[in-house]
Amino acid sequence: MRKAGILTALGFVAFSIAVMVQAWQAGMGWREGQPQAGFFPFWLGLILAACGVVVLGQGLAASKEAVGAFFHDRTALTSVLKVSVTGVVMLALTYLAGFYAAAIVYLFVYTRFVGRHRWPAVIVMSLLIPIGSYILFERTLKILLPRGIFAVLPFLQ
Amino acid sequence: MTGGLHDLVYGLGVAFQPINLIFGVAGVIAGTVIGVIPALGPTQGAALLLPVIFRLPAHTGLIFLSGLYMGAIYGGSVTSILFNIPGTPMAVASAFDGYPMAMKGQGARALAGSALSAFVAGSVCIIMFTLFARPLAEYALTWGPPEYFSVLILAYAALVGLGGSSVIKTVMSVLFGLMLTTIGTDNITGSLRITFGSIDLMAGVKFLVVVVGAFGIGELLRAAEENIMTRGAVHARVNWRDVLDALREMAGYWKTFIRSTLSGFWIGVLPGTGATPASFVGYGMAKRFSKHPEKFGTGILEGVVAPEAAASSAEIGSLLPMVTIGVPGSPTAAVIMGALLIWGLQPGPLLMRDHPEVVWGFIGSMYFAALLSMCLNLFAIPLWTQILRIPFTVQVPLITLLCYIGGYTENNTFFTMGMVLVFGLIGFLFKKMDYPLAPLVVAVVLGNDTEDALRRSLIMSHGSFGILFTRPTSLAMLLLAAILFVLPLWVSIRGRPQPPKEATR
Repeated sequence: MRKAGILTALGFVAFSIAVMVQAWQAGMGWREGQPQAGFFPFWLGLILAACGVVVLGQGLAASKEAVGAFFHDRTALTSVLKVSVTGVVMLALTYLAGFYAAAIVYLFVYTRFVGRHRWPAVIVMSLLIPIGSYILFERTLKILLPRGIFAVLPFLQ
Repeated sequence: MTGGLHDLVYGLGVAFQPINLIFGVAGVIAGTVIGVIPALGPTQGAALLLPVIFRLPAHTGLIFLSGLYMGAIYGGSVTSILFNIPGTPMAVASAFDGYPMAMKGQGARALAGSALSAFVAGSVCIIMFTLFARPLAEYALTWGPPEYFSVLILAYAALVGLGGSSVIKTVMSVLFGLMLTTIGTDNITGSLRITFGSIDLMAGVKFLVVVVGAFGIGELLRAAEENIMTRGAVHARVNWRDVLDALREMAGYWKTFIRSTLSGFWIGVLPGTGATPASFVGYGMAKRFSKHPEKFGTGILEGVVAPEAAASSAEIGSLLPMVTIGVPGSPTAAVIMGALLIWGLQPGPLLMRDHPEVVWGFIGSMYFAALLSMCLNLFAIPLWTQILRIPFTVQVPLITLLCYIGGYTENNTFFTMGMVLVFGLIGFLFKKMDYPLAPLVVAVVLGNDTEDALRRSLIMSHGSFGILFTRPTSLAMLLLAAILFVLPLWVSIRGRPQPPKEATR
């Protein structure tokens, strides 16, 4: 946990420095009677970097005892991985095969292999939810969800 | 003064015509559904339905819009309280105590409290609106960018110490949020900045993507870590005693209620600010004045009443400058103003003189919509809490898909969909490392306004920050902000010695 705290603080400092460099390139001074585009982000970045350094110092000064691991046990880690990895796969599938095809596969895999629900429930859910969202978003609200590179569901094109 | 009340009665007469009643009910139902969907808030809902609405006569359309508006506010609180996914930005603060209450099995009480306080505050504000419309709006008009910037600083200062997080981490969260809003196109000069060479980032990082990711996906990850799936659905049995209990308990919070209503109304009247900062100020004040501030965030009804009353008051307040002067007080008020313009009605003093049936019908219908959305939604509470019975392993894919869709609708690009996931991971990290999320979200919502107000102030003063301290209203706001900021530090130094933060988890 101590290591994670230090890394987070370092992450903030790195982000601030990156923004400050970019803000400096955009111009952070005064021109034509008004502050330039980089003025606000530059100073924000400077303050955030300073705060990050303080937290970093606190983290380094903290004693090594009395701090647990980032995940308190293996189950916690696996549960988080199940949610996040399937989420990433869903995104990748959306990119490749379009939202609706991806949603069918994602719902099927998640409810069956993570949730261990019964087959009928799994099949109903993985068909009904994509169809429902198709009717709601595509038809009613006229929001076209991503199509993907490969047309797996050709009637959507 | 009596003239104002007479106008309101006239407006109520318009609102209660049968055709208007029907459209009012339809608006509330549509609004609630839109509010429950995290991807859609009242602003987007109103914008999406405008093509349908402007085919109706002006006053009927406006009644539909006000129903939509009220319904969406309530719907947003529902998902906020039950899932910790604020359906609308103004519902973020309702989740601070509403979600812990739902986790304790008091979801129905939280929902009842939220509906009742929104309704009562709304009613009080509609009467205030009628009485004080003109003088208040005239005073708010004298405010310039320095005053506005100071109000925003006050909103941020109110966040410090919320939920017991460390002061420095709260400040960092605010700064991080503000920096996210500077990515992309600069609002004032139109030039590009902080894009890290990415074309997709030129459009900027939007509130919706951050909030859907950090609260939606982030909360799912946290729930997964704490193994909620083994515990099954949250226990949420509803009976009417809960609702009556909530009502009785609320009567004890009348002070909180008055504070939230007055401050919310006033913040709403200010141009540009709306229900979102009001809800945070309301929550922050309730905590600050409370005899037991440590209970906030653990799931107490007062923590739901305060932001809900303030948000609802601000919603009414934000319509005040729109109707009387033609300056919308909030994004949703701006959309409603857009609708008025489509009907060929220019909001302002002339509208009040030439088309009183539109203005007062609208005000009357706001009142009617508040009543209606409270009734409909109190009866629907059992329906909403049923959602909690859905097993976690079904909730995960459902919420994930909703979050992705929400991220996508922001810009209609695959890139923002991916950003939702990124912010989900950031949100999870924030939670784990004890960085508060709410300040981040508030900063992302108000970031552009904050920067505009600061830069416009500096343009006015030719680069001197002194302008913020020499104008009396602005100075008063800043002093109040300083007190709010220093108070938690003072308490922690004077009171119990705090253990080092790292050791708490």
